[in-house]
Amino acid sequence: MAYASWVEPSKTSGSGNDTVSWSASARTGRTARQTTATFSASGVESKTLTIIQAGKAEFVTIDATASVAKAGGSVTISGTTNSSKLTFSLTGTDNIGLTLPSTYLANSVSTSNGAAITGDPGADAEFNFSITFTNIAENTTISSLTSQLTVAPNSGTSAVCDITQAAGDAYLTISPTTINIPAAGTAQSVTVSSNTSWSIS
Amino acid sequence: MAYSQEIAWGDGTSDKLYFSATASEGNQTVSVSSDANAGYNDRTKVVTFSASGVTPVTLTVTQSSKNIIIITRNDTAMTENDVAVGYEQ
Repeated sequence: MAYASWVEPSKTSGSGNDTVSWSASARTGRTARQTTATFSASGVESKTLTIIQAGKAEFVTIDATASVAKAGGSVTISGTTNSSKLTFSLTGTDNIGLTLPSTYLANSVSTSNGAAITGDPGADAEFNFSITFTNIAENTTISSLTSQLTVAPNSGTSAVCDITQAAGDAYLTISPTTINIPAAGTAQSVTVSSNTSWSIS
Repeated sequence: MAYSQEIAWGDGTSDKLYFSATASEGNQTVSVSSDANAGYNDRTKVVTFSASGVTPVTLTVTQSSKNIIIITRNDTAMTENDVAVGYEQ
């Protein structure tokens, strides 16, 4: 019996009446695949069996969360898909202030955001992708910041990654550090630079 | 919310320093004023600016003393002197 390696019969030989079960490895590509098995016996005409495995519905998954250091820098977000095209967008309020990259890696190949993926590898199997945000600014606030990345397949349900940047450090400075008030008590000014609540005692 | 704070000079008088700002959060300009210094000596107070999670910083406030009028001993002339106390010889 000649058949593709992705199927496996419960037995490859037998005698008389019998039942043969066929199993297959998971199909992750979008398109169906097909193979033919041949049943042969001495003195009789061979019979063929066509086995068709349906494709997997188009999908995309992505890291549910991603973290950015308080100092900023870069973050790479990964996922898996069998789509022919991925479109990334920043959704919701972008508190971090991210700049959406114009390209990402689809099956290790640089691909423009929203463009057809070269060779359409998702037709045959799912593949990995990643997108990297760079030049993320330092978080100068004492609160963590959030943004949301959404990736949409050519058709089907989008996936979302919640990106969080760690809170920055508090700071407090004053200028000048010495003042002289006239005898009459006339007001003088001191400049406070801070990213948090402060008090004087 | 507007911020204001009073801090006693602690020099034996009831005089105070007065601090005010639009708010006590983030970048601000703080106005620092005082009751008049009715004494004849300068006075100094160190106040502390504090915030959670940071090292406090200090502000040294010095207030000058009032001007002094010195009168000559024979009263034939009157001289104003801002830096000394006493009568001219």
